This record gives sequence, C-alpha cells and structure tokens, in this order.
Amino acid sequence: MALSRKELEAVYAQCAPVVYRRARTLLGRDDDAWDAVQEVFEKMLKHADEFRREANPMTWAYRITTNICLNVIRGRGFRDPVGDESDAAFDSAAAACGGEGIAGVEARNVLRRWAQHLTEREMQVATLLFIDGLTQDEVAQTLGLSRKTIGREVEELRAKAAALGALPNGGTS
Amino acid sequence: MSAHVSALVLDSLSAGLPVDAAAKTHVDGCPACTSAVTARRTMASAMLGRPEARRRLGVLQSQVVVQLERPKMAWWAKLLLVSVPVALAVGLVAVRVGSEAVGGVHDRVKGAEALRVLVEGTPVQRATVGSKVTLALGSSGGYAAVLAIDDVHGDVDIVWPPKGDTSQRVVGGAGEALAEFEVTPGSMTLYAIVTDEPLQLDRLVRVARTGGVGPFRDAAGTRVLATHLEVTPP
Repeated sequence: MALSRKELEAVYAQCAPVVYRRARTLLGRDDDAWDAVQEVFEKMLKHADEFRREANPMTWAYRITTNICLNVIRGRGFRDPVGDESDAAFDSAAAACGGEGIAGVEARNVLRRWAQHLTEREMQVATLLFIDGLTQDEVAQTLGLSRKTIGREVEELRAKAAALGALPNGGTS
Repeated sequence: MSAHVSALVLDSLSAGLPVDAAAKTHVDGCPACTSAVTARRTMASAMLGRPEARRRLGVLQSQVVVQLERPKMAWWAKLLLVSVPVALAVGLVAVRVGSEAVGGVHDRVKGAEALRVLVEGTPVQRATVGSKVTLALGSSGGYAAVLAIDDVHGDVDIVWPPKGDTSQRVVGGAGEALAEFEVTPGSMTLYAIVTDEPLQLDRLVRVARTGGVGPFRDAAGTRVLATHLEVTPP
C-alpha cells in the first residue's frame, strides 16, 4: 500500500534532516545532499511496503542514504569531489550534533581511500561503523544481517583498514 | 549504560522515534548526549525551514498517488455485486512475459477466475527464455489490464492490452486467452486488474510503481488476480 501524503510529510519531517546531514557529510556538496534526500524518499515511496516492515524508519533511512552516497562516491571515481564546499555553518552545526566516528573532510578522505580497496559490502559496513560510529549490533540491524556475520566481517575489515593505514576508532559491540 | 549512545540513537530520539529504554535513560542523565539531541533538533528545524526542503517535499508529494478514485455505488448495485457473482462463472487467465506480444489469440480457456500463463494449454509457473507462452484470464467480465512487476528491480510494465490508453473489455463467464508472448529474461509477478469501467493505463503504472498493487486491492469493485512466472535461462 502506497504512502499517503500525510505519512510522507511525517516521515520527511523525521528523517529528511538526518538524510541531509549524513549525505552532506559524506558527499561534501550541498546540491548532492539535496539530491540524496530526494532519492531516498523516492525509494521510500516506491518500496512503501518494505519501508513499513522496517522496525525503525531511521535504520531504513541510514541504509538507503549510505547506499546512495556510496554510489555517488564510486561514480566520482577517486578524484576529489567537484566543488567540495566548505560550509563553516554546516560543519559547526554538524559538529555540535556529535555521535559520529569521523566527520567532515576527514570522513570524505577516508571514504575515497577505502573506495579504492574495499568491496561494496565492506564499504557499507565501514561507513556505518567507522564514519557514523554505529555499534556492531546497530550495523547488523541497519543492514538486516546477523550480528555474527557483521562480527566476522568487521574483523576482516579492521585488518584491511589497518593495512591501508586508515584504521579509525570505533566499531564497538 | 556508561558509554555514550550512537548517532543512530541520537537521531531516533531527536526525531521522536522510540529507542531502547537503557539508551533513553542514559541520554536523560547525560548532558553531552542531551546537548547532542538538542543540536540535532535545531539543525533539523533549520533544514526543514529552508526553501529547498519545501521544494523537494513538493516534488515528492506530486509523486504520491493516493487511492484509485472509484465512483460510489448505488445500494442496488451493491446487492447485485453480492448475488450475481455467484451465478457468474469466472475464468480469467493471464500471462506475460517479455514486453512484446507475438500475436493475438482468441481461444476460450476454461477455468476459475484466475490469471494464468499457459504453454500448449497447460498452466505453468516456470518458462524458459525464448519460449512462447499464452496469457489467459478468467473473470466475471469488465475491463482488464495486465501488469508485470519484475522480481529483482520492481520495474512495472503493461503487458496487456498491447496498445491503447485504457484497460480493455474482457468477456465474462469464461476464461479468455489474451495474447501469446515470447519469454524474455527476468522472473516476474503478473497482475490482472479487472474493473467495471476502463482505467487509464498510465495511472495504473504510476500507482503500481509507488505502492505495488495494494491500492487496487483496496478499491471498491476492483479485482486483482496474480500469478508468478519464474524465468529460467534457455
């Protein structure tokens, strides 16, 4: 069953600011962040039944935003994002929100480095775990995987990240 | 809980969504986490107040198709709906596959109200790429269209009628072979939407793309018949 306009407005008010903030952090450009917001909600409308089955709308928003942003990053290749915008007001507001593992330019640099060496799944897990600072339980919940699977993948991921010289803190269970 | 909660918990809390009780207790007693929630709310409010946020929401709202608008039925029409279908034989059979009809078929197919894919007159749920199948529909009559929704990507296509802007009349009281198709790659579920009055095909596709066939099931006077077709390599 499709989402009604009222439902859309309610979910937009709850999740769009989070989608925007994460996309702006991961992608570095305001226009790209707004495009990500639109794409996330278009997917929500298209897959309304799947969205309704999600226990927490926020985990759905995290997962889809991550996938969309990683697609953009892969599409950019390994060069610097065109027009990576410095926005002191945004950076300051985002920093006050706290909670993330890595933020701002540092997050984008780490992602670009990882994108050259990690698989799609590893990128998803690494982004949620190290950039967003989610726990392993939360990563498992967000990606719809078992805690055991994530635990195993995190060990391999840590080894790879260490070899790349980019092993951030985080990934608690 | 001694460690601070994660960004996911902070975001859920700031959005007013439920979180784990222990996490909530921690945030209530932790100035740093409380401050992070407040900062999120401030940022959310600023973001939602931007013209671009309203513009994007407007674009999304235009994509929402609520319910199929159906005319209200007179009381006698409802009575007819209750009593007449018992007397009406139903046999719809439909099928698809691939987007191009090979040719029209006008044989009658016996059977109950259903949408079916036939190979040499036998219902199948599996077909090989390149094989020829017949889409058959049994119904109590009315106007019908058959949609195919791709299993992997959820893409929606009209597979019948092959042309025109609206659903087409189908004969009631017997199953009817609609058309023959050549199977192309990609398993799918086929849905026949049968109504008393013709419906716009582009609207059917729009509704199905946003909400699947759920809205059709909820619309008065509309029957939805489905069958799955697993497509295997040649």
